Amino acid sequence: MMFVAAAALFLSAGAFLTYELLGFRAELSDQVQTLAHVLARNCTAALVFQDERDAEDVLSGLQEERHLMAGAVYAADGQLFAEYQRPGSGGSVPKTAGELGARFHPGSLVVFTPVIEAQRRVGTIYLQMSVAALNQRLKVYLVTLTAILLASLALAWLLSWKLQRSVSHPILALTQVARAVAERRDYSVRAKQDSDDELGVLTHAFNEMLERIQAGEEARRLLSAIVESSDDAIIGKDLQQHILTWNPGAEKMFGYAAEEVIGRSIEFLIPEPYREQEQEAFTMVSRGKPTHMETVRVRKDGKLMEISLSVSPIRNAEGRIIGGSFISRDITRQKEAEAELLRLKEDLEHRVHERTAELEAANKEMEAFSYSVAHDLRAPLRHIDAYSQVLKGELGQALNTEIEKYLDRISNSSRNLGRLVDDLLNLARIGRQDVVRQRTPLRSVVDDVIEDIKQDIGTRQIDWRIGAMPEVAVDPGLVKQVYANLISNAVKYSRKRERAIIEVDTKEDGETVFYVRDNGVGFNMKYAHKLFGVFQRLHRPEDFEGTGIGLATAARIVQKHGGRIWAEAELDKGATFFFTLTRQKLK
Amino acid sequence: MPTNEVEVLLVEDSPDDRELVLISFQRNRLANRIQIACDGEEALDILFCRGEHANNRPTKPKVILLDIKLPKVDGLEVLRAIKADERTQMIPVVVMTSSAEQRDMVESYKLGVNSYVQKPVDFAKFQEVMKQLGFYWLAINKTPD
Repeated sequence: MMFVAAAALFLSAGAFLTYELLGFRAELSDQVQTLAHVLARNCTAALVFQDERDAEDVLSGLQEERHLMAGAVYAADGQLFAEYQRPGSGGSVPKTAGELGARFHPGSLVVFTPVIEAQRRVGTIYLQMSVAALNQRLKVYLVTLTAILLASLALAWLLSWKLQRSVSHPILALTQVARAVAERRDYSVRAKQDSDDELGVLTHAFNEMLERIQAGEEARRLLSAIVESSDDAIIGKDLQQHILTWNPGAEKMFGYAAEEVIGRSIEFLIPEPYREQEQEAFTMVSRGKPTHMETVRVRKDGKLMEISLSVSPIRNAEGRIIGGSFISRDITRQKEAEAELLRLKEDLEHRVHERTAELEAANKEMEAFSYSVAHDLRAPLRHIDAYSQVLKGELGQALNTEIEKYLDRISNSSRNLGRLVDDLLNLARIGRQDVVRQRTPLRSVVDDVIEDIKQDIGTRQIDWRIGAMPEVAVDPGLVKQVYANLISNAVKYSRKRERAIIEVDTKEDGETVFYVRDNGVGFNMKYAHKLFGVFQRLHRPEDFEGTGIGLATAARIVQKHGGRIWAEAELDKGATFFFTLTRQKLK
Repeated sequence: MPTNEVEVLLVEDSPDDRELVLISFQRNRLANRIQIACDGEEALDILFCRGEHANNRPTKPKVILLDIKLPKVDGLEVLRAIKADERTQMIPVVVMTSSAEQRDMVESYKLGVNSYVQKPVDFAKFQEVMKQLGFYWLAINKTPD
């Protein structure tokens, strides 16, 4: 740049110098010719009259002109007439007149001018002028020019240096950054912004652009990493069904490498019967509707597989649909598992069906059994009792206390057995019966039970302490049996107390707990585990009668409600029976 | 009403039960004219003059005491036939059975039984029940002619 400026300067200086030189010469030549004309006029008379002295006189006037080296006058025939030579100037005078006009010789300007009188040439004037003055002027001019030139150059350099700092540097930096981006695809580099002028704005814009490209690049890399690492086959297709992209997941799933398939039509992947389905899906997508389906594809090795396929449109920047993305997942195993599950389910259902039928048959048998027990077992018991009674009547006078005692024993035994049969049948019936829950005020259930029992306890004094009792959703008939069993037990086992106290109430202990408490004979807790078993009794029959089925029945009912039953007792202090009627919540 | 008219038709397969019913009636001096059917088929033959009883006059007892568990045709079938036929549907039927099976009871009432009695195990109570039954159905209850 400096070089260009300097060249321009030198060229213009050279042109200027040449112009000036030519100007000076023309000026000098005019000056000398004018002088020659003046001389010619002054010498006319001298030539006409052949007066040599006059001519020399005129010529001597030339000494006033410092740079005039020589002068001469020639006669009409061209012979030297008079001459003047400045001493020491090195001037020379030719012997005869030369050609008219002005001519530069080395070191001097030579002029020949005619002397005219009455339209007749009477002689010739010769002047030789030194060009030293001219050279002197030129020298001064050259020095000045050089000085100006140098000053200009210095200024130009300064300017260029300044410009370089404010313009070139940032541009160079930008260029470097741009080169780095282009060569290394490194979008993380940034150009340094020094100022807020146009270049600063440009740098800022450039950096911002880079930032956007970097963000886009990162997003693209992320997306492509996802696509590359996905186990799902992700395939891009154009609107002509040609494959555009093919990820490793697709390579693995279908067995084709990307270079084998890109550009090909997708059809080779689709078994004949499924092509129409594919076409439909593609039509949907080309209308911009994403779709999902389960279909079948064929692998490179010819194996068929079931896939789940999601198809979505691909749009270009203007929003026009240019293809579709096909994401497929191999669901062959899932389908197999589903089929297996279905088979197992059917199998299970079948088995449940079978078992239910078996159970129903067993239940029917059980029902038939208890039905006939009810009839056929009770009938002979009735007969035994009846005949012993009849016998008693028939014996009349022959009846003695001994015989009567045995006949009563026969009656009692048959009656006990009858009760036992009834209780057992009841227990069996509860086992088969469904619990039908309905809102039941427990207080009235308990009151009913106590009312029934009061008819059998005669004059005994019992201090009843009945709580308010809540209304609960239970099977009222069954729960009444529980209370009937527990309360009649409480009455029975407290009958040796002068003042029996029987408490029936509920308490809250995370759940509602129902209880029946007495101050009777109680029992030893080490036998507590036997309480609720069938035929399990903790007392001798001669102390307290009973079939040993009551508590088993109560337990069965509580169990059918999803509840629990348990007891706490102390020998001779009394017993408390607790139960719940709802399934315990898991903690 | 002719005096030889049957007052009670007892349908009972168990000879013991027949015996005990008869003893109870005798002791309480009730119903001398008791006809006995030993199974459901015989009961229907008697009532509708079929089979062995084809030549007999139709009987119209004041009450039928019907056991449920019977050979051949069971008590509920007999009850259904009685209540379905115009000739017999006015005759009161008392089901007497050993058990108190709910479904028997429900079925009986659906079929239009007039009373349902469980035979008590205790013979004293049994006699009491028979006495009340006889008294009520033979002396108190009125039926259309």
